[in-house]
Amino acid sequence: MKDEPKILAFLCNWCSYAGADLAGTSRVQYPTNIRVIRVPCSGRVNPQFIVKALHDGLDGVWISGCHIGDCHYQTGNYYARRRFYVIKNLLEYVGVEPERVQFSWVSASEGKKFAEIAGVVTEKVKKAGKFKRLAKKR
Amino acid sequence: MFEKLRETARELLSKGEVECVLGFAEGTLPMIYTPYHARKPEEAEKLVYGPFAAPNIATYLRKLKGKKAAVIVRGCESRTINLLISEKQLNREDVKIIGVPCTGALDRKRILKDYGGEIREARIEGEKVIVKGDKGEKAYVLEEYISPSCKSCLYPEAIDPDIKIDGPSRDGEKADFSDIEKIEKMSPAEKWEFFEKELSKCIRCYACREICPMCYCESCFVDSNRPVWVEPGFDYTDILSFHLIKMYHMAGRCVDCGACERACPLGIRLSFLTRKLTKDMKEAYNFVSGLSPEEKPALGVFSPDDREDFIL
Repeated sequence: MKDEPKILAFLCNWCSYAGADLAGTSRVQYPTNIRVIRVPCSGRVNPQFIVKALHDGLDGVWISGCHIGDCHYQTGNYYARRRFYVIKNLLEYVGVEPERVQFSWVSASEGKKFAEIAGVVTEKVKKAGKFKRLAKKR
Repeated sequence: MFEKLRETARELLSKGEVECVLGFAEGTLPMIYTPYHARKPEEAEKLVYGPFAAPNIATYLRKLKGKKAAVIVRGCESRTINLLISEKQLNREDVKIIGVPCTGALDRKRILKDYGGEIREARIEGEKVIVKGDKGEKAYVLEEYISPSCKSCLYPEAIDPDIKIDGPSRDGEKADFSDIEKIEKMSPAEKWEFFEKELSKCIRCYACREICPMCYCESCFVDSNRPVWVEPGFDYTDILSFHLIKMYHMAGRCVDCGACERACPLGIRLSFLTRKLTKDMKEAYNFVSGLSPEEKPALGVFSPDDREDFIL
């Protein structure tokens, strides 16, 4: 378990978190590398959270929200999309492997898709390996 | 060469149209002008402009909030003013914009390094900077010592000035981002190494933050202790976190004036980051910050068909 990457997932309350719930109640299996933080909306995720998560020693960050057009707050994920593009590009530019930061849209009815994407994200982060560079040694 | 500008400033001050004219004057150090508030008509005689003006004058303009002021600006500075107006930090009616030509700002630290001694005097003669000091008189070609941000400047001339002073300016069409593209093509390990070498010089003095006209938050994330976004100290992970978050805050708000880079006491090439932002915003959202005071910052708006190719 020690070599397994840890991935922090920010899931929006209305879609992706419910999707994860559905995956659970439908007994769909997905990797256990994921640690979930429930947020009201993907627009709540400040890109600083991503930097801080990597700085605090997480190996990957995954953010998932409602599909475009389905945001519970109408426009939250539209704003989030722009922010994520900027921060993903910046992180990539300073040498963080692009695999480590992932975004997806998963709705409340897509339990199976949730499990699939969890698998994809874990695979990608595993490929990049443990992330020690931005993690502060304590 | 500053006659036209000084005459304009004198007129504005003597008619009482403005309380002060904000610009630059000769300072105590060579190759760097000091920000100057001309408050009386005779003080207009001190106003200058040119490559020795290192900071972004809009930083000082924001502190004059509420007063009627004229400000002498280059392209980047006029775009900063537009951004400040759109972020409600300034009223357009309070500001009289005097546009001056811009041939770029001088990268003073590189001349100091190449000269290798103490410089006591400097002046510009045509395309050259003539410096005098303990190693004698030397001439440097101005264009070779222009700030990197100025080399990729898209709008060297002031946008919608109230008064325009004519003169030769840079060509915005010739903006060059080739060095940024080169970094983009590196592998993650190479990029990491490249930035570690550049940014680990940082002593966290926050001069870049203080000089930045757009960094005006009352309380900055680096000073926050609940949560601690960035811990104090010189660990590279903290330094990088600071610069990353700062750059994220600048996305769509940075005009890439290069003042932060020129203010950095360690000569860190912050333009590698700011120019990347400029390039990204232009490519992804066709957005150039500060083109109009009505325009909202790029991250404060969205379009239903924004790019999505990075989402799983």
